[in-house]
Order: sequence, then C-alpha cells, then structure tokens
Amino acid sequence: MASDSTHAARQPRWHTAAAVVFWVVVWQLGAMALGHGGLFLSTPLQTLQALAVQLPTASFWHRIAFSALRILTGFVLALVVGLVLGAAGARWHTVRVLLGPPMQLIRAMPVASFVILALLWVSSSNLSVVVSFTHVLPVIYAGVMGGIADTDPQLLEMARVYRLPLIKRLRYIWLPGVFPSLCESCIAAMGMCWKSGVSAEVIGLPDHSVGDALYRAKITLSTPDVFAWTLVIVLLSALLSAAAARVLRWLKARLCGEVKAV
Amino acid sequence: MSIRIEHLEKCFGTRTVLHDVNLQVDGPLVLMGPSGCGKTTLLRILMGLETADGGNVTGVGNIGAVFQENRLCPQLTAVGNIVLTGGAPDAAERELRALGFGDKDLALPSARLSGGQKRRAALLRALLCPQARTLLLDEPFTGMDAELVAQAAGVICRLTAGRDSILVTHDASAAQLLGWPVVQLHPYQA
Repeated sequence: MASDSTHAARQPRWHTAAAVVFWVVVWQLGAMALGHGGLFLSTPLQTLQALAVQLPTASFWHRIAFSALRILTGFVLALVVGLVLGAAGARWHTVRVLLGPPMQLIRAMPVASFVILALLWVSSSNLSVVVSFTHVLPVIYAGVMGGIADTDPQLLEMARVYRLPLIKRLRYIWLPGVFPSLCESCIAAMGMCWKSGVSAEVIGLPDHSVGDALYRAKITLSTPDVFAWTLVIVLLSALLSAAAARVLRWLKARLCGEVKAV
Repeated sequence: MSIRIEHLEKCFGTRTVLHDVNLQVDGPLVLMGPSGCGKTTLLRILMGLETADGGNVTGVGNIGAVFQENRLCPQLTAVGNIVLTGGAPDAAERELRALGFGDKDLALPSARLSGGQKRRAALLRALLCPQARTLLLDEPFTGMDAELVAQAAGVICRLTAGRDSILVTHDASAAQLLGWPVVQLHPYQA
C-alpha cells in the first residue's frame, strides 16, 4: 500500500493525464456503443454541455453552497468531536471500550438505513449535517487513536524526565505524532462525507440541494445532468480533500514548528 | 544536596540486574562497567522511568538527561530542542558552534543532522537545562571522534559544575579526560 502510494506520487503528471484521456475515450466509445442519444450513458461532450448550461445559473451555485455548507459543517463537527473522543479513548481504556461498538456500528451501517432513521429525528434540510458527521466521526476517531499510538514513546519519556509542561508536550510531541495519521483520515473523510452527504440528500430531498438536483435529473431521465452533477460532486470532493490536506500541512508547520524562547 | 542510593534492587523477570547497590553522589562521577551490568537501568530508576524492587533513592533533583538514544524532536532544530527544555537560545547556539555546528547545521531540523551532531545536541540539551540540578548522562560520547570527545569532555566539565552528575561510559580514555571519580558497577552473579 505504502509502496503503491510512493510509486504513484513519483509518476509524472503526463502519465496521470494520459490515463484520464484513455478512460474518457473508453467512456465515449461505451456511450456510442450503447446509443439511444446518451439515455443510458451520456457522452463526455453531452456531460460537459449539461454542465455548461448549469454553470451560469444562480440555482447551480445556490445548490452547491447549500450542500457544501451542511456537509462541511458535519465534517468540522466530526473533526472536533473525533479529536476529543480519540484523545479520551487513547487515554482511558473504559472510554475506548465503550466507544468501540457504536463506532463499529456506524462504520458498518448502510447510509440509506441511517438516513431513514435520521429523517425521524431531524429535518431533511439538516440531514446531510447529521449523516456526514456520523460517517466522518469514526474515521477521525480511528485516525486520532492511531496517531496517538504512533507517537514516539521515547520522546514522551524525555518529556516526562524534563518535566515539560502539557502545552509543550501537546505542541511538540503529541501533535507531530498525531498529524500524519490525522491528515490521512481527514483526506479520506472529506471524500466520504461528500458521498454520504449527497446520498442522504438524494433520499431526504431537501430543497435547493445537490442531491435534490441529482434526483430530479434521474426522474426526468436527463442522464447528461446526472453525469454533470456527479462530476461536480467528484470535483468538489477532490478539491476540498486537497484543500484540507493543505490547511492541515499549514497548521502543522504553524503549530509544531520551531520553539520560541520565553 | 547529594544523591544517596541505598541497597537498590532491580529484577526483570527472573534476571537480577541490580543487587544491593549503594552509592553516594556528591558532585560528578563516572559510572563504568561491562554491558548488561545495570548502568542504564540504574539511570532509568534515578530518572523515575523504572521502579526499583527494593532499596531507596534520595536527593535526585530536577533532571537533565542524555538517554541511550538521542530523543530529539525531529522537526525542531538543535537550538529548538535545547530551548524546548528551557535552555537559552544564545547559549545553545554558542555551545553548538563550539562543538562544530556551522550555520547550515544550525538551520536544519534535527531529523536531518548526522548521528554525531544529534548526540551533541542531546548532550547540550541536558547540560544547558537551567532547572536541572541532577545530570544523568548515558554514553554521551557515542558517535564522536577522539577530537570531538575531547571538546565535549571540556564542555561537560564546564557545564556540570555545581551539579550532581553521573556519566555512564564504556570509554576509559573519555573518563580519564573528564578527571572525575570513577565507580565500577559489576554484574550481579548469584
């Protein structure tokens, strides 16, 4: 796994671009083979045309803002709660044991089941907050626990011997230990929260959401619109994952960087 | 205040590492002995990282330590690591330069320093810790050539003045350079 990712990181960009072009050609050929004017599989051009029609409209941006705000709210809440619970779980065995079953349950539960239950408790407009929160939480929780477990025990002993204050231990030992695992979890969770959030919207159908637009495109058999919205979701997810990684790297440099003399 | 170690005992499972160890430390001393005789275990007990099975230890103040490993925060520079434990940045830079650090080395995170440079940074972290009344230095000359050992010994003598210090080493010539009293620790034989 690690060697795969290292290998992927080293490959030239044109390799990735060539692979994307290859699959776009396969997509085009597949759509042409299925025929029916793109009813079952719209062509890349039809998808881009559908997107071009949507892009200048206010409702397109309104939907994106509506969904992004709620999904990201769920993400941020899960990040905060995951950090607290992960730290508590790493510190206290009882907390870890107690939280184990609900975290496992949430991980294993299909989004659809959770959405149907959640609709009994919250309005459809806030559904994606709850669903993205619950699906991101176990990922962040596991990431924080893993990061704490990976923190160098020799540095912790050093801190104990030198009686470093808690704030210095957190900033210069715990945070650098937790960050790599937390970063990976956040990037994975960002993609996950979009998938689960939009799935929730497709079931709950809150007005002015991306999920609602996707559902409307489906019932009107507007396959290019379905593809266009899917492309938007994929791009948003990738963009926000990259942004999350960048923010976390910046935070790490700011928080765990050089010590200032007091 | 001197450190008093009385009738110290430590076993790991069925293996006795320290048996009836008695030692009084007034100022600096060098602790020598063959591998496995319990030197590091003794230091770890003084640091509070191991619990003795019997006996008493009194008089250990705030500790400045060089561990068997360097234990530097890898993202911080050598100066950053020394400042982290309370050392003054200007003194840290001055002493690091005296031990062969150049401008480039001072700017590097410690993860990118050589083994010998890391050891020198770890040593100065202990020596420049202003709160440390007790210095416990476990093989501080590891990875240094003869010239650096001589320089480091000079720095150690200067910066340990007035503090109770135990320096563990295998290197008899380094111990001689320090000119401190030498205590031999013998392995326990049942």
